[in-house]
Amino acid sequence: MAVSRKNLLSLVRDYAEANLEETRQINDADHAISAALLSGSEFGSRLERRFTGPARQSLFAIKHACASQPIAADVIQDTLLKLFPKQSWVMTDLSYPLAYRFVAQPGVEALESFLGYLLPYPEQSVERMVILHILHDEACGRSNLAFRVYVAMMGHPHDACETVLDDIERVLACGENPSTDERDLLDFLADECRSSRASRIRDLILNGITVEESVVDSVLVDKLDVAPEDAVILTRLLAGETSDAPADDDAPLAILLRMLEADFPRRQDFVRITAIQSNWSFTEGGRLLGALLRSLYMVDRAPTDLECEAIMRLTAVSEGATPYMLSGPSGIEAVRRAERAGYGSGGFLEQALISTATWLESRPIVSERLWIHSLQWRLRTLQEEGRISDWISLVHAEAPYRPSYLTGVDWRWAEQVIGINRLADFMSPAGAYALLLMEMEFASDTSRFDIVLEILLDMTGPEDVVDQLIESYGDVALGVVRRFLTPANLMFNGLADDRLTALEIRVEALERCMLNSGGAHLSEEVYRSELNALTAELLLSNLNSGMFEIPWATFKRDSLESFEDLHKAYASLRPALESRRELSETTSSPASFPNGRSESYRIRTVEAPLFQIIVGLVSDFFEHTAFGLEVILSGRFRHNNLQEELWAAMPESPRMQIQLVPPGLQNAAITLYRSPMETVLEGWTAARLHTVRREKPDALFDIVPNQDEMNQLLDATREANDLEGIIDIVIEWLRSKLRDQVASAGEVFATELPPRIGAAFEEVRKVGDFGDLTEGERERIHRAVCEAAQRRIEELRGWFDGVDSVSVGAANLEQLAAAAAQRVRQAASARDFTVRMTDKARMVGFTPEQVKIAFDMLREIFSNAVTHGRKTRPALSIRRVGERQGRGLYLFSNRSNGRRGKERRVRFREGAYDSIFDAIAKEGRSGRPKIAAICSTLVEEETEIVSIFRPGFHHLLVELPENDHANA
Amino acid sequence: MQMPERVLAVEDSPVKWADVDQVVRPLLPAGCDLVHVGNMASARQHIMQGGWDLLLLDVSLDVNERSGGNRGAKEFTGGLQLASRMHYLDKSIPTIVITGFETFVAARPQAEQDMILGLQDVERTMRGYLGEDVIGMVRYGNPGWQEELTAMLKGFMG
Repeated sequence: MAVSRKNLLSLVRDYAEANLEETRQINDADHAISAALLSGSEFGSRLERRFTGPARQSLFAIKHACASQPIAADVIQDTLLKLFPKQSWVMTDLSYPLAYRFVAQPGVEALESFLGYLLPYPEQSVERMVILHILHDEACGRSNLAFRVYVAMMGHPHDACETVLDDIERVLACGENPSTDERDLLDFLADECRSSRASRIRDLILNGITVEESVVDSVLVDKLDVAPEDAVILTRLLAGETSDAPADDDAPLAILLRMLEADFPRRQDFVRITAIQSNWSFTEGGRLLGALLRSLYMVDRAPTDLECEAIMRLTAVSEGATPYMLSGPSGIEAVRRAERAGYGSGGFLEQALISTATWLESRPIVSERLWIHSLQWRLRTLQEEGRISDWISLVHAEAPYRPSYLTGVDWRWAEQVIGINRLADFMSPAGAYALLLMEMEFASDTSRFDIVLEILLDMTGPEDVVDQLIESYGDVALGVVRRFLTPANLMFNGLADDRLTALEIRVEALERCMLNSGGAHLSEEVYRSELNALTAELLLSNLNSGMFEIPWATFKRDSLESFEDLHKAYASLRPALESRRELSETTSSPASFPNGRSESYRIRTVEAPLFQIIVGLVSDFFEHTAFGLEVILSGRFRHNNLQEELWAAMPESPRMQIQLVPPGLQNAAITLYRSPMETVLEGWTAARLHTVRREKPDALFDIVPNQDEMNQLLDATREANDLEGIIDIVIEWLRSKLRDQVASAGEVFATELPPRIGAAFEEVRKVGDFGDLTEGERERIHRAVCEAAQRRIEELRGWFDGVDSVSVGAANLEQLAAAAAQRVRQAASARDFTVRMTDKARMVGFTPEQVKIAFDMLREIFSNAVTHGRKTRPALSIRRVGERQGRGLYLFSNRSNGRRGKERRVRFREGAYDSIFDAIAKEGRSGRPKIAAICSTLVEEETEIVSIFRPGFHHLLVELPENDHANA
Repeated sequence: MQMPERVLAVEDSPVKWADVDQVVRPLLPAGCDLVHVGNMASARQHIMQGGWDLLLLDVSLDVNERSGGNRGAKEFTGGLQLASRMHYLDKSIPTIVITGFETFVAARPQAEQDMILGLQDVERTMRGYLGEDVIGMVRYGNPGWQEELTAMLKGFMG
C-alpha cells in the first residue's frame, strides 16, 4: 500500500511539474480570491477573475464561474458552453448537478441523494461518486486516494494537487505523521507551485503548534494578503474576542463577528454566511470561513476527523492554537492528535487544558456566543471523566431548548454511551430532555425518548401526565408535550381510546402548557397546524367520507417547498435550454418510482431538468406521507381496515339481537363467518388495491406516465411560467388520472366483492359447525350476516367517492355533535349518553376555522348535561325554536334532577374571542360563560345565552350560525 | 435443543392468529404455555413481565385493546416499536416475525411526517434491535408460509 501511495504522489508531482505555470496561475488566483473573500466591504467585485488557456477548463475555474453567479444557472450553463463542447460529458451530465450544487447549496448527503435521483442505476454508481467528489469538498472521505487521483488526473494539474492536499490534511487531522513523500510533495507544491495551502500545512508540521492567548494581526496580513483592518477582525475571530460589529455589513468577516457577539445569532446572518462559505469552499478563504463557522458551533457537529481538520486550518493561519479554538468542537482532541503525530510541542496538551480553562473562567459570559464554549468545555470534561449522569444533568440544566438553534452537544459520544449501556443512564427527566435534544439535532432512534417517558411517567390520566411534564420541564414542557403526546403515544399508553380523542387531548395539553408558560415556544402557525389536525379529524370522523379525498392545496404547498431548489436551477437554465431545444438529441432517461416501477423515457437532453421535476412530483404523490397513493392504499385499506370495518357491521349481540335466535349462541355462530370473510377481503385487497407493477398485474391504480403522457406533460409544463404552473399541470394530470381510476375501483369494489363474500358465506352455511342451532335459526343468522355485509359494502362504496377534498370544507352540527358525544361518553364514563336532534337543527353549519371552538362548546354543553342531569341513561335533545336577525335560536334540553321550584332563567353575556390565543388565555372561564363567549365568536357579535331551569328539566337557549350547505 | 415452555404470540388479526396457531401449537412441546395478545399495549406489558422463551411477533398492530378498527388506531410498525423496547430495556427473547404486509408507514416524530418502509427495511431494523434473537421473518399469506414457519420453529427447537 505504501508503494502505491508513493506512486500516486509522484504521479501528481510529475503532472504538476510538467505544467508548472498552469498550476501557479491557479494558485495565485486562489490566493487573491481568498484575500478578497476575507476583505471587508466591496469584497464581491474583487472576486472576479478571468482564466485563460487550459486553466479555463480546470475545476477551479468552473467552480469559480458557478460561485460568482450562484443564482443564475443559465450563466453557469453559458460559461460551461464556452469551455466545453455541447456533447461533452461536462455539458450533458455535469452541468445540471453543478447548477444544483451552487444554486441550492446542498450538504454532502443532500447532494448524494440528488445524484442518486439523477443517476439511479447501479451501473452509474461510479459516475455518481465522481460527480460527488468533484462537487463537494466534504466527500473526500468517501473514496480512496487512488480513485480521487485517477479522477483528478483527467482534469487540470491544479485539481490533482488539491486532491492530494485534501488527503494530507486528512492524514494530519487523523493524528498521523506525514510520510517523507508527503513532506517532499508539500515542499514542491509550496515552493515550486506557489501553493499557500501547502505552505501553511508544511509550516504547521515543521514548527509544531503552541498555545497562544491571542493572534498577531501582522502575521495574518503576511499570510493572507488582507488589509490591516481586516486582519484585526480576523484576530478577534480566531481568539474569540468580541467587539462592536456593524449591524448591517454583509461582508463575511463582519457577519462572523456579529455571530460571535450574539448568544443566538440572527437567522439572516446564518443564511448569508453559509451560502458564501458553501459557494467558495473550494478556495483557501472558503475553507477558513468554514473552520471559523465551525468554531462558533454554528454548524452541525461532524465526525472528529473533520472537526480536527477545521482546528488545524485555523491553527495554520494563526500560528498557534488559541483557547477559543481549543474550546471549540474537538479542540482538545485535535491537540492530542497533534501530539501523537509529533507536531505539537512538549507538554502541549497540559498547557492547552490549563490555558483554555483559565481563559474561559476569566470571560464574563453574558450575552455572547461564548456561552456555548463554556458549556461544551464542561461537558467535554465530564465526557472524558466518564461522568455520564453529571453530563446528562448539565445538558438538562444549560443546553437550551431552541429548536432553530444547535446546542453544540457532542451527540456522537452520547450515541456511543447508549451503544454500551442502552438507556440505563437516561432514565430520568434530564435523560429524556437530553434524548429530545439529541433526536432534534442528530439522526438517532426516536423511540428512546418515548421509552424513557413511558417508564418515568405515571400514566393515570392525560391531565396528570401534563402536570408531571410541567413540573419536570417548566416552560420547555410545551416542547416535550408536543413531541411526546402524539395520538399514537396517547393511545399506546392508555390515555386515549381513539385518534380523535387523542388529538383533542393533545390540543388541550398544549393549551395548558401555553397557559403555564405564557405562550412561549409555540407560534400561532404551529398552534394552528395542531388545530387543523384536530379539525380535519373531526371533519373526517364520518365513516363514509371518501378515503381518496386528497387535499391538493396541501400537496401543492408541500411540492412548492420540495422543488424550490430544483426549479431555481431549472428556471435560470431555462433561457439557455430553450434556445437549444430543437438542436438537442433525444436520449433514454430512466426514472424509478417508489412502488418499484422503473421506466425509461425518450426525452431531449435539454429537457432533463424539467423531466426530473415531473418525475419528482409523481414520485412524491406516490409516497406523500399524509395522503400519497401508496399511503392511502396501504394505511387506509390494506392494513386490515377493510376487514375491521366490515366485521364491525356484523350483527353481534348485545348490540344487535337476531330475533328468535338464542342470544348465547348468536355470536358463536356469527364468528364462523369471520375467517372466510377476511380471507376473501385479504385476497381482494392484495390483488386489487395496489399500484400496477410486475408482481401486481391486476392492481387498480397506475399513475406512472407512459411515453405519450410524459411527452404531453413535458410539452405542457414547458409553457408554464413558474414552479406553481408546473405543479398545477402535474396535479391536474394526477387528479384526472386518479379520478377515473378511483371511480372504476369503486365500481369493481361494489361488483366483485359481494358475490365472492356471498360464495364464502354460503360455504359456511353448508359446512359450518353451528352446534345446537336449528335449521331455521341458522338461516336467520345467515341472512342477517349476508345482508349486513352487503349493506356495509354499499356504505363503504363511499370510500371511493372522488379525489377532491370536499369534506374538509365545512362541518354541520350533527357531525360535531356525534364526535363531541363520543368524547363525553369516554371522558365522563357515561357510555349510554345519547344526543338527538330535529332535522331543522341540521341547518347549523361551521366553517373550518370555527370547528374546534364549536366542538368545545358542544362538549361543554354535553358535559354539563351528563354531570348535572339525570344519571341514568343521560340524554340531550337539540331543536330549532326560532330565529333572530338571520341566526337560528336553538334549545339544548336535558332532564335534570331538580324536580321542584318555579322556572328560573339565568342570562350569560360574554364578548367574542379576539384571536385563537384569546380562547386559551380565557380558558379558565368555563361552563356557561365559556359557552356564551363561543356563541359570540361563532355569530361574530356579542350575544347572550339563557339557562332555563324548570322542574325536571334544564334548557339552554343559544344563537348559532346557519347556512344553506350545512346539510350537504 | 431449546424446548420452549412459555411462548408469547402478538397478533391483532383473529383470522391470521387462527392460521398461525394452527401451525404453531402442534409443534410446541406438551405443557408449553402459548399466550396470545392482540395489541401493542398488552404486548408491551407481557414482554416487560419477562419469562418468555419465544416470541411470535406481528409488525402492523392495533395500538390498544379499545382502538381496534378505529381510524388511525393502528401502528403499522408496532412490532418494530416493541422490538425497540426489548432492545433498550434488555429484554432478550428469540423472535419469529410474522407479517401479512409488504409496506409499512412509520412515524418520524421530529420530522412531523411519516416514512414508508418496505419488508426489507423492517427486517433490517428488526435485526438492528434484536440482533441474533431474530430467528426469521415469515410473510404470512405467501405460498408456503406455513412450511417456512414450521421450519423456523423446528430449527429453533432443534
